[in-house]
Amino acid sequence: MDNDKLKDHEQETGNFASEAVSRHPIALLVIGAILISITTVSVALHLYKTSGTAQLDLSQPDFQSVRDQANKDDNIASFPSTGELNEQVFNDYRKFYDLQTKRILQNDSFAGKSLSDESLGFDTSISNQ
Amino acid sequence: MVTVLVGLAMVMSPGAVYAETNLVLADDQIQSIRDGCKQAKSVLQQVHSYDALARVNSGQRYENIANRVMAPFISRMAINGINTVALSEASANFKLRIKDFTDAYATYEDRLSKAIKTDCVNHPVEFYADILDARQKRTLVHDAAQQLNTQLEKYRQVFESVIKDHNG
Repeated sequence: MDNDKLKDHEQETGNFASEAVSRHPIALLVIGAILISITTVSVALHLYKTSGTAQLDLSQPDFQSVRDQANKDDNIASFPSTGELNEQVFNDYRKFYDLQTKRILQNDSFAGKSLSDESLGFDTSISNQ
Repeated sequence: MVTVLVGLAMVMSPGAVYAETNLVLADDQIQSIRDGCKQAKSVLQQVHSYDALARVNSGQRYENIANRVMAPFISRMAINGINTVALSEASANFKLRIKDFTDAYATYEDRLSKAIKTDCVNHPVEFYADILDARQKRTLVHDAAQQLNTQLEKYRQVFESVIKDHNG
């Protein structure tokens, strides 16, 4: 007896669903499209944040002041990976290597005391405890 | 009972204790942080921007050196039948250091962002603890950058030694 009731209920629910689809196909299509786009955008934003891309994205409003200073001329040509090797090539490579590494070796990034109490304007005795 | 009393003593006696770092600050120090926190946040924002720029520029240069300076030359040497084991090892170590640098920066940026987001007026001790944490993580980024520089110099030395062996 209970099984019959359950079957009737399932049939009614199924009929209602198919009736709703046939009556409002466009509305359901729009709702489906919105749900799919919300899901994909959420996944994309999650990946954007967790992959570390967000940390390097200088197009963010927070980085507007420094955006123009990003390297644009660093698209260097590769050293030729084929050809003979002789003293001239070794000398060329030395010059090429020194030129490319010079800027890095001269630039002491993340040094200094940018986050010191003094820089932040705090009483310097705080960190001397 | 003893635990409760010790807990109360820690909260009451010095200004406040920040649980995660056991940071203890006096009331006047907390007030100093609270008073200067807006200016400090502005400095933190600037440091955040300039460090992001340094990370992007440095990272680009490191990748260029690994992929456009080291790799093609090692490949060329191998094609010409010269032993490239030592140079390949130096290059691989350089790439590993790039990974260390990237990871160190990601952690530092995470901590700095946390400090920037912390409500420094209502939670000055937590704010200061976040700054201390970010400061320490920034030192690790600097260390990682120094390791990369050392590795660049090491690669240069290995290069000279390989050439010397080849010519000799």
